[in-house]
Amino acid sequence: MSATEFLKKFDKNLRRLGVETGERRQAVAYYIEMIEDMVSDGMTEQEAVAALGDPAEAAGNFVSEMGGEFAKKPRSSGKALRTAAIIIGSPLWIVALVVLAVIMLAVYICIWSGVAGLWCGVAGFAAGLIGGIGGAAIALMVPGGAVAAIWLAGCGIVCAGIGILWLIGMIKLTKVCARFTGWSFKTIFKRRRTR
Amino acid sequence: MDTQLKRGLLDVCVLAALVRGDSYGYQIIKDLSPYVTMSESTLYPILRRLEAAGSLRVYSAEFGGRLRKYYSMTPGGREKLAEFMQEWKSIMSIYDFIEKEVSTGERD
Repeated sequence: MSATEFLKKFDKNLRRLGVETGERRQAVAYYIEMIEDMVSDGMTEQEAVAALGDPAEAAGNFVSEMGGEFAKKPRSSGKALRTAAIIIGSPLWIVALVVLAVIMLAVYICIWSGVAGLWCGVAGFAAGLIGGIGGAAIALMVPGGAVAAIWLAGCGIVCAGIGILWLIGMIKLTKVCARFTGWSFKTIFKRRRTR
Repeated sequence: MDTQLKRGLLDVCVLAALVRGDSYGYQIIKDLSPYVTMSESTLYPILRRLEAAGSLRVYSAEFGGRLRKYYSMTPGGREKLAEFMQEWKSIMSIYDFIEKEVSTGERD
């Protein structure tokens, strides 16, 4: 094996073992110097390389002996990167939180305006009932208005029936919505506190 | 041999090789070779360790048209050697005890 071949294999093994570039360069320079000194001492290049042994074994010995000092140091830079990411990312977090809050608010408004709209339905049927009965009373005063009065009264009663059913439905729906609102508020604030 | 103990001993060996004067990698290995066989891959981590501990100083000097790294002992290194000589006395008395017990035990 030539010196170049030895050094190449040695470097490759160090790299495979996770040694960083700067440290590898230093270790290779040390071996270059060692070979040159052996040759100055009268050895041939072949003899010098043979005396150095197996490059993979030498690399393994380097790493096991150097331990922590020799290995890559990705942890500290990783930590710094993570910190930087948090700092850079933090305005985005605030924006995301605000957007989320606005969306939540919009959802509440939609739900409750829907509920309010449906309550208007109850009012509508109540108005229908009053209108029907009132209309019937007026129709009775008009000669020959009996048929119209019955028809109007019927309409008022139908309105009352539907209105009562609607009212029952609305009470249930409102309760469900109130429960959802309370529950969602509670979960959001609980999560905040644990964070 | 216990690797921890051996490692400590080899560190002192390399320091001792610098008592007479500054030296370089291959010369240190040659100087130690009658007593300790030290491979090149063993010496390098020791040199780096001693340098990091402030026991030796590294400098480059020209030799035969190229740069060679020389290692020079610092006052800290000298102190470490003196400490070792001091500690060795207690280690020797431990050894004496072990040796005595083992040899008398074998005789029984």
